[in-house]
Amino acid sequence: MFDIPIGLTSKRIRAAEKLRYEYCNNLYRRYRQSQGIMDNGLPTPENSATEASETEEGSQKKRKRLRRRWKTIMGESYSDCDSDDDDLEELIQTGDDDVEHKEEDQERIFFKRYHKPQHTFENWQTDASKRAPIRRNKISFSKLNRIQKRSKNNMEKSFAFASHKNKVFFNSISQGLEYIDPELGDTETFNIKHIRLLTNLLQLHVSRHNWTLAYKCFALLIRIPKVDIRNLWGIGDRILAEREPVKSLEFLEWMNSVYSSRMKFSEDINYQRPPVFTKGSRDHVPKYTVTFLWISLISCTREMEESGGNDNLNEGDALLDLIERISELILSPPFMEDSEIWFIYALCHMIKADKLSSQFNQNLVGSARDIASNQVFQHIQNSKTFLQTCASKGDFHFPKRYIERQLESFEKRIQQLDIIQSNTDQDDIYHSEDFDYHISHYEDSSSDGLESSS
Amino acid sequence: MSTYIKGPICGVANCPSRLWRIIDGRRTCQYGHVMDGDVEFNNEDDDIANSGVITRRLNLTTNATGSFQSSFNLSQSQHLHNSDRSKKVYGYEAHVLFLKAFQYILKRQVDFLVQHLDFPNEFENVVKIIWGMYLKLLSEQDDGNSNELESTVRGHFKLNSLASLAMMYMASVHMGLPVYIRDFIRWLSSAKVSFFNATELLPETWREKLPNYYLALLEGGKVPHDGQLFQKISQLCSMTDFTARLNCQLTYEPLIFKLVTHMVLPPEFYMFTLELIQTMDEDENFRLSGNYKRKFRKYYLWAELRVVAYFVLTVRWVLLCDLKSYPLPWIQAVMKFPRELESSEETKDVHAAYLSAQADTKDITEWDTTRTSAYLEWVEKRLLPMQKNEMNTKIDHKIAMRKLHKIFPMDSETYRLEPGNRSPSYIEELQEKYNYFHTSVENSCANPNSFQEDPNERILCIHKLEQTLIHQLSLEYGCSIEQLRVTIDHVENNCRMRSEEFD
Repeated sequence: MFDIPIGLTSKRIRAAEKLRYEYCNNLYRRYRQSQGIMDNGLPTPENSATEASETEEGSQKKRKRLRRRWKTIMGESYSDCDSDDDDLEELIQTGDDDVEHKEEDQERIFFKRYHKPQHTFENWQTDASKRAPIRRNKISFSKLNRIQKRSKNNMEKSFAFASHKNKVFFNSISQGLEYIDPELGDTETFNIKHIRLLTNLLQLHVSRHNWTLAYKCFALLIRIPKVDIRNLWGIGDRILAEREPVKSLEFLEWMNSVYSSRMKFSEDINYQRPPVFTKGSRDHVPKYTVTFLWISLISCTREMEESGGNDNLNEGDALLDLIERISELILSPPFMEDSEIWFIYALCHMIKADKLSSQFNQNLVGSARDIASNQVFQHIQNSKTFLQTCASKGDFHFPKRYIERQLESFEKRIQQLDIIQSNTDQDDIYHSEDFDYHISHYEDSSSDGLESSS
Repeated sequence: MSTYIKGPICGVANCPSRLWRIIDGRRTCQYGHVMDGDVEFNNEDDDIANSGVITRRLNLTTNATGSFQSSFNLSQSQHLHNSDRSKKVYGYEAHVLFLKAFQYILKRQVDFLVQHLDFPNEFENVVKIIWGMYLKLLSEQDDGNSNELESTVRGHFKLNSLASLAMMYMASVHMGLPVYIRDFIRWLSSAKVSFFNATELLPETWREKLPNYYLALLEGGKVPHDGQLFQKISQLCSMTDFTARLNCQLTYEPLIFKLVTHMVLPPEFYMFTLELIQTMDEDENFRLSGNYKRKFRKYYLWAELRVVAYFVLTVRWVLLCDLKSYPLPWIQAVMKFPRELESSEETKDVHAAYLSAQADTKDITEWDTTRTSAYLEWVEKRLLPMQKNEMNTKIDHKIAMRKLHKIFPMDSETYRLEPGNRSPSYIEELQEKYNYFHTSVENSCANPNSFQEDPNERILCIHKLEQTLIHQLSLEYGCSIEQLRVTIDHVENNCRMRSEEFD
C-alpha cells in the first residue's frame, strides 16, 4: 500500500532507472533538434546561421549518399519509406553523438539540466495569478511519435543488453503506463514483508489518529536496521508532537546532528524515492533542518511570551544559541544558498531586537546606555541585511513591507525613549499585542515557506 | 606534465581533438594546435610550483559524538572496508567453508530443537547420519571424477537453507516423531527456529570469508512456498540412499490428530480419516519418495500432502452425508472463534506464520486493536531480536542509534508487564475452544428455525468451509492452493476407483 522506508539497492532497479534516464535524455535531445535548437557546441552569433545551414546541407548530402549506397547493396528490396529514412539518420547521428554520450552517466546528464534535484518534480500552481502561460510551440502527434520512435531506436544497444523485466518496465513507462515493480510484490523476503506490514499499519493508524499504536509501529520500525529513518522522520515527528511535544524538538535536533551530511548529492544511491524529502545534499537543504529551525524559533518565542520577557537568563540564551547555530550553518554551501534559512536568520534577529527594545532600561546612562541601544540597532541592521540576502536568493516570498514596518517601530521605541528620557512613566504600548501577532505570523509564514520551496 | 582538459573541438585543419593542455600559458590541443587568443598570464612567480596541483577541500562534518570527521577520513575508511572484502575465499576453499558453515548451522538448529522443543537426544545422531550420508555421496562423486570436472560437480551442492530443514524432517520421520512439515514451517516463519537469520549464527570470521553467493544460499529469504520444502526433501531422498537404508514410513496417525484438533473438529473425524486411509490406500504410499524431477507434477506422491488431502476429503464427505449429526448451524460454527480465545503462544505463532506466508495482506484495514497489538507484540518479541547487527556499523552510528532509541523508547522498556498476565497454554486454549464450540452449536441448534435447511445452502456452506480449510492448509504447508487441489482430486479419483473395485 505504502512505500517501504528502506533504500532498495538492487542491480535490476538501477539498470531500469538508467534505461529511463537514457530515454529521457534522448527524447530531450530529439525534441531540441526538431525545434532547431542546437545543443552541441556554442555557435557564435554571426556564424550560427551559416553553420546551421551548412550542417543541414551536409547531413542531407550524407543521407543521399548513404541511401544510394544502400540501394546498391540491397537492390530493389530497399524502399524509400519513412522508417528506413529514420534508420539512416540514426546511422548518421550515431557517428558523432553517441560516442561521447555513451561514456557519460545518463543520470548525471539528466540532472545536469536542473539546478537542484527537486526541480525535476512538477510544480502544480493552483494560484491563478502565478499560473504560467501554456507553451505555444506545440508539436503534432505524428511528430511526437517520430521523436519517440527515434529516441527508442537510439537506445537499441542498451536495450539489447537489458533483462526481460527491464524491457517490460521500459516499454510500459515509455507508453506512459504505471509499472508495479514485481521486485516489491512477488519476491518479497520475510523481512521486507514484515517491514511493509509495519509501514502499512503505521500509516493506517496515523490516519486514524490512533497515536498509541502508531507510536509502537514507529518505534519498532526504527529498530530494524534496514529501515532508513530519513524516509520516516516526518511521521515520527508528528507522532511525537501528539504524544510528547517536548521530545519533538529533541528528535529533530537528533536528525539534524546525525544526518548533517554535506555529502555530494549522488543520484544513484537512493534512486527509488525523491531525495528532497529524505535527505540533504550539497545542493539543497534537508527538510528536517528547516523544520528544526522553524520549530525551535517558534518554541523560543513561545517561551519568551510565557515568561513575559522578565527572565532574560534562560530564554534569551536559547535564542542566542539559535542565532549562533544558524550563523554557523550559513557559512557552508547548501545553507548559504537557501533563502529560507536566511529568512529564519533575519527573523531571529528581529525577535531579538524586539525583545531588547521592549526591555530597554531607561535608567541607564552614559556608555551603558549606548551599548544597549547599539545592540538593538545592530540586530535591526542584521535583520535588514539578511532579509535583503533572502530576497536576492529568490523563490521565497514574505511580507516585506510588514516586516520593515515592524523593524521601524522597534527603532522608534528607542528613539522615543531617547527623547522623553526624563519621562519615567512611559508604558510600553506595543509589546503585548505585537507578540501575539508575531507568533501567528511566524507560523503562517513557516507553512508558506514550506509550500513555496517544496 | 600537465594533464589534458576536455574542451571544444580544435578544428584547425580538421583536427578532431577535444583535449587541451596548457603549454607556456597557451592552450594547446592534443596534436599541437594552439588556440587563438587564449593566453594565460601568470605573473606570480611562486605559483609556478603550485601549477597543476589539485587542491582539495576538506569537508569537516561532526559525527554523533560531536568530534570532527573529515571526508578524507571517510574515503580512507572506505578503503579499509574494501580491503576487508578481499578476505573472501573462492574456489575449493570456499566450498569447504560452505560445507562447514552449513554443518554449523544444522548443528545449531538441531541443538535448539533438542533443548527448547523437547526433541529426544538421539535426534542429533540421526541427523548426523543423514548428513554423513550426504557427505559420503559428495566424496564418492569426487573420487569418480577427474580433476577437471571437480569444480563443476562441487558447484552443485544442492544445499540451501531449506536443505537443513529437510534433513531434520527426514530424521524425525525416521524416528517416527510426531513432528511434521507444518510444524517446521510454523517454527521458522514465526521466527522461533533461526532460519532467516541463520548466517548470524556463523562465527564472524567465517562470515567474512564466505562469498556472498553462499551466504545468500544459507540465508532463507522467503517462507517456503509452492511446495519447495517437499521438493527439497524428495531431492535429498533421491540423492542419498535414505529411502533404502533408513525408515521412511510416515507415521500419519498423529498428523491426523493434529489436523483434527487444530480445526477443533469432534474426535470422530480422526477415526473417519484413519479408516478412509486404511481402507482406500496402502502404507507404501506414505513413504518419503525419492522421486525428484525439475518439473514435478505428481504432488500426491508427497506423503504428507496425501494425508492432508484425505483429511479434507473426509471432512467434505462426512458433512455431505451425515445431515443429522452435523446440521447447517454446526457447519457454520466450525472454525469461527473469537480472537480472545486464540491467545496462547502457539496460536499467536500460527497467526504470525500465516502473515509471513500470505501473499497479500490487504485486510489490515479491518484489523482491530487487539489483533494489531498482538502482531506488534510478536514483532517486538520475535522479529526484533533476529534483526542482524550490520557488520560495519561504527561506534558513532551505534551511539546515535542508542540516542534515537532513547527518544522513542519501547513501552516494554519503560514499564514492566505484570507477571500475573500470563498467556494460557495451548491445551487450555484448546479446551476453551472446544467448550465455546460446543455451547455455540448447542445454542444455534436449539433454535427451531434452523432445522429446515436448504440443501443448496448446505452444499454452499460446505464448499466455503473447504475453501478456507484449503487456504489455511496451503499456507501451513508452504504449498500452493493448486498443488493441494491436484492432490485432493487425485486422491478422490483413487478412492472412486477403489470403491468400484469393491463393488
